Amino acid sequence: MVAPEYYLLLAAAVFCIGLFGVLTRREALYFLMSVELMLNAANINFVAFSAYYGDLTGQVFSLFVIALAAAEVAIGIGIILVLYRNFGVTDVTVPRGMRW
Amino acid sequence: MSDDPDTRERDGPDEYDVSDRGLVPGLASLLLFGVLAVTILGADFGDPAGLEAGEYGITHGIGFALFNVDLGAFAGSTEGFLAAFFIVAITLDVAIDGALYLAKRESDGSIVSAVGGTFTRGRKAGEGGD
Repeated sequence: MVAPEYYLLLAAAVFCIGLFGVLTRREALYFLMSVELMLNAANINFVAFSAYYGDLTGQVFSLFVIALAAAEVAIGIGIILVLYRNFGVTDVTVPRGMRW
Repeated sequence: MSDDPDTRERDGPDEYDVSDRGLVPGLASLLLFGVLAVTILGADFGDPAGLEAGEYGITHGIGFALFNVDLGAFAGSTEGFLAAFFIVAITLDVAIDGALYLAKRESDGSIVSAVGGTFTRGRKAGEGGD
């Protein structure tokens, strides 16, 4: 069995890459991709500890996280569409208020 | 900056260039990774138990857990998630409905906006042309 430290280091690296993307990118699609990276880092941890401790709960939880990530992307793409229609850009720093 | 109108645009900061604002977030991310790595490598995770395939296998076990079926060989290693399964199903349904609502166009090409008005070419319906 592979030691859990390797999985956790991989998850930490993926999470930090996602965090870097969220902090630096202004395009909404890159934003969504970075958030997905952070969610998948959590999934790696769930599955790694599930296998390590012999408990299936972590794997079931990772399925729920994947489903919620899909819901988040669906809403996110809709918001990006509205953003583009109203401002002509997908830069998340352009809109300054909640209404136009 | 060049005065040549053909090259003036290119002298400005690139919209997609992150080099001018990526230093602090990059250092913060690296610092976070360092803290996490030190914590992970110094942690004691106890003895591994390992997943046993059991009578039905791991995939079947996940399916049993999702639908609260008798967990069989996994009775002691997980629990039922039927309520969570339904809540996630409803959440996905609401999300796809919301995405369709946000993206919907009328047959004449106008856009039904998220705030209730109808927009046509970026202008709210009923507003004057000037």
